[in-house]
Order: sequence, then C-alpha cells, then structure tokens
Amino acid sequence: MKRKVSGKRIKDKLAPYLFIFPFFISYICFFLFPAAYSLVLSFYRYKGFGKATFVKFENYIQLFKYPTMWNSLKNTFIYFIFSYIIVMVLSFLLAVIVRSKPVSRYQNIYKPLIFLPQVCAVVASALVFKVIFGNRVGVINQLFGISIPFLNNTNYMKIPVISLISWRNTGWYFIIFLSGLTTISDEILEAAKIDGTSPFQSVYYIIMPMMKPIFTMTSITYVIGALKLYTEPNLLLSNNEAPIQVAPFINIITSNINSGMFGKACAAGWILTTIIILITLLQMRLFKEDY
Amino acid sequence: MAKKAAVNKIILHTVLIIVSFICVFPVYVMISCSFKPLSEIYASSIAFPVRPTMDNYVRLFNYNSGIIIRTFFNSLYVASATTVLTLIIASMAGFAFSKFNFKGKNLLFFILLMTMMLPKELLITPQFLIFSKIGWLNTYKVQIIPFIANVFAMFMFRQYMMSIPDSLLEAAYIDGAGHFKVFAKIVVPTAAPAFGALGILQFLSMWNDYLYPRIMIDKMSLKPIMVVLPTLSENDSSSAALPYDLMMAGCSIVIIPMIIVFFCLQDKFLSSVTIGSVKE
Repeated sequence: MKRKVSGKRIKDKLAPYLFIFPFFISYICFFLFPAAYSLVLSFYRYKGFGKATFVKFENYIQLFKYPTMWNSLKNTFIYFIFSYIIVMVLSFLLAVIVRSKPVSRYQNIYKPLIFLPQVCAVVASALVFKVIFGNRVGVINQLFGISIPFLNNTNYMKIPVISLISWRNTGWYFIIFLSGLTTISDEILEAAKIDGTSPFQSVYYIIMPMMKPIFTMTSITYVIGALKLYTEPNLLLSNNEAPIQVAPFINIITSNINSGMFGKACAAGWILTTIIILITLLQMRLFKEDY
Repeated sequence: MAKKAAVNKIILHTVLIIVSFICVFPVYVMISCSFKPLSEIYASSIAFPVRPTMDNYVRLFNYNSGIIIRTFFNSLYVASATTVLTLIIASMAGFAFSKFNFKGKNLLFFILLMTMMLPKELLITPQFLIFSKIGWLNTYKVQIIPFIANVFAMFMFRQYMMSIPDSLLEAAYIDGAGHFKVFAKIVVPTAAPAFGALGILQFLSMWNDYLYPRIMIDKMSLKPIMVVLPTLSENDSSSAALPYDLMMAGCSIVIIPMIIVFFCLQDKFLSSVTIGSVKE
C-alpha cells in the first residue's frame, strides 16, 4: 500500500503542484495549445497573414481528391511494410542466435556491432548511403560491376531507402528482443530440449508465444515511427525533397507549409494522426485476439 | 553429436559475422572516403585510401568561413541544453505523480496518456505560425524550449520512482527535510539510471532532428549541423555532382564522436533502448 506523504500545512498541499508546474506550463504552451490550434486551423483557409476563412471540410476534401496525397501515403506504407518485415525478422532471428547456447558467451562482441548503425546520425547515414547506392561512386555498382541507377530511376529508388531504414533500425529491435529473450529462463529451454524438441520447435512453440507482449509493443512503436518517415527518403533521393513518385507522407505537410497553405498542412497532419491511431488500435486488437 | 554441435556453432558465428560486417561496412566506407580525393572515390569507393589525405577535412573546416564548426557546436548546445532541461522538469513531474496524491492527478494523467499518441509532425505547422508571430524563428530557444515537455520521459521517471520505497523518503521527512531536499538528495540519486537512459534518448533524438530545424531556422549561423551537411557544395565546381569527399568528411565528424561515446558508455546506451519497452 502506498502511504501518502502526510501534510497538514499548505506548503505540503502545494508541493506536488510546484513539482508539476514547469512541466505542465511547457506542455500546455508547446503541445496542447498547438495541437488544438492545428485542429481549428484545419477547417480554415489561412495564408499566415490577413484573415482566415472558415471552409468547413474543404481542406480535407481537397487532400482526399489530390492523387499525390494518396501516392505519398502509398509510398510511406511501402517503406513501412518492407522495412518492417526485414527489421522484425532479422532482429528477432539475430536475438535468438545471440541468445543461443553456443554463441551467448560472445554476445558482448556482437551486441555493440549490430547496434552501431543506430548510433550513426540519420542525416549522415543517408549521405553515406548515397555513396553506397550511387551511380558512379556507388559501392554496390562498383562491387558487382553493374550500373543500376538506384538513385536516379524512380523504379529502383525505394530499394536504397528500405535498405537504409532496415540498416539503421535492426540493431534497436535486436536489443529489445534480446533483453526479452533473457527473461526466458534456461531451465525451460533445457527441459524442452530433453523432451526432444528441435531448436525450431522451441523457437516456435516456446519462445514466440512468450515474446508476444514484446512483439505487440515493438510493432506499435515501429508503425508510429515508420509513418512519420521524412529524413531518409528525402536526403537519400535528393538534396531537398524527394520526387513525388517516391515521396513520403510528411512531404504533403512540408510542401503545404512552404506554399503557405497552413490550413491544408494542418489537415494533412490530422490525417496522419488519425491513421496512426487507427493502426495502433487495430494492432492492439490483432495481437490480443489469441490470448 | 559433438561434431554436429561444432558445425552449428560455426554456422551461427558465420551468420553473425556477416551481419556485423554489413552493420559496420558503411561506417568504413564513410571514413575511408573522407581521406580520399574525389577522383579516387570515383575510381573506387571501397578500396583503402591509396594516399590518405587530410585535405577534405581542411576544406571542410574552411568551408563558408568555418560554418561547419559553428553548426557542430550549435547542435551540441541545442541537444545538451534540451536534454538537461527535459530531465529536470520531467523528473520533477514524475516525482509528483509517483509520490504524491493531489487533486486533479488522475485527470492530468489521463490527458497526458491520451495526447501521447499525437505525433510531433502534427505540431510543426501550428508551431511555425505561432513562433513566426512571436518572433521566435531563427533563435536557439525555438530549438530547445518546445521539446522539454517530454511526456514519455515523465512517464518513465514516474514508473522508476514508484519503485523507490516510501520508507526511504519517510525517514528523510522525519529528519526535517523539505520536499525539494528529499527530491534532490534521495530521489534523484536513486533514479540515476533512469536519468542516464532518458538523457541518452533525448540527446540522440535532438542530435538527429532534421525536419523541425529545417522549417524553423534559415539563418545559417544558427542551424544545426544536420541541416547544413546535405547542402554542402563547392562553388567553383561547374558540374552538378555532389562533393562526396567533403560530405564524407562532414559525416565522419558527426558520427565518429558519437561512436566513441557509444563504446565508452555502451551499457548505458543499450539500457536506454530497453527502458520502457521491457517492463519489469
């Protein structure tokens, strides 16, 4: 039972409010207020100066009728799905391997190496991947003696972006899965082994079900991060903003800000937020079903 | 049987070595290219530099009258200041939420939970308008203050501080300590691991930020280095090709210090990943 910090004096009653005061002041000013403001603004046409005109759902309707919006949404989902599969499969398998008996003694060597990409700044990694996938400078093209225009031809452009995202994120989820696996005791796995389960069976029947809460959590955080993708495709595929065939959803927001259509930029922000919330709820449902 | 185990072991190690190699290889390419003239990068971007030269770094530091060093320290300043402020106000709020009962606590907590899902990107448009009206664009504070109310950090502090036994605090109160003294002398030291992990997360997220400063800052001398790096270009070069040599040197000076810090504080970094993801 939690005991209350007793207080008869006013100072004691006041104390918790003093402690939360700086946090809530900045939270209200820089989070709640802008969020509310953007919701209101998404129903207005506003150029940043002069009068804002109330246009009801016009901003949303225009966005929904705008093929580029759908295209960038599709791109974001493609980046998300492919990188998600690669990252999750790879990081889980690596964690299982590093946890496994013959290797676990050496995990302190592999752990930092696999985590290393996560320490590299996103912007710098994107520029390095320009060299790796580049045309003439390209490591891959030079290495295999081919000349695939990864960064110039929109048909290939998604490959380097997905590679970059997977390269940077695998280490992060690997560490999460690994720390989840260490909570599964050796005895359980030993007992299963004595009963004659093969390594694959023990992964499938013992490890995976026990890791379920972690799968749920990682999937949710991954989607939220992936839908907000901006830096990687834009820097890798251009010096400024990626071509619209491969642009991610956030570019709809930035391009509307740049052209002074703030109402529409806010509406695009709320479309993104709605999608994030819907997918999160959907995932919670999906993962819960089998309990 | 023993032989089979040995074969297994070799296969597993091979897989891990290949993966580790892929993880490290781009870093090697970056460093080795940063010591090569552009012509050598075009000839082979993989090979070890034939005649290693510091020329790229010299040109980088002289670029646009030393803007790279200036923006590097901008990034460092912004990320550190944000991290310190975040930790102070989030730990204070976490303390109040974990160890006090007060009117409105549940309501405030509920509001925080509900709004946690709202992405930062949603706020950029209204923030841009608000900051342009109050004259905050192109300042340091616009890069720092809006990020200090970190709800996630507050939740983590709260959770960590709930595990501090009340009896520990009680003893200090009986000795006549005030709330701030108890917070500073007992709660903060006990929650030190949470400070380390959340500090690393906040620092990295600020250090990495690109979209937000790109929109809020267009004065060169106030930009963070991440916004400047992709715009590197040599005025005299007639071709549209990027100065990869210069860029790789620029990437090296942001990545290598981070890697060194990472290898020194490895455990702290790795535990920052798991905070909040694997709960007790």
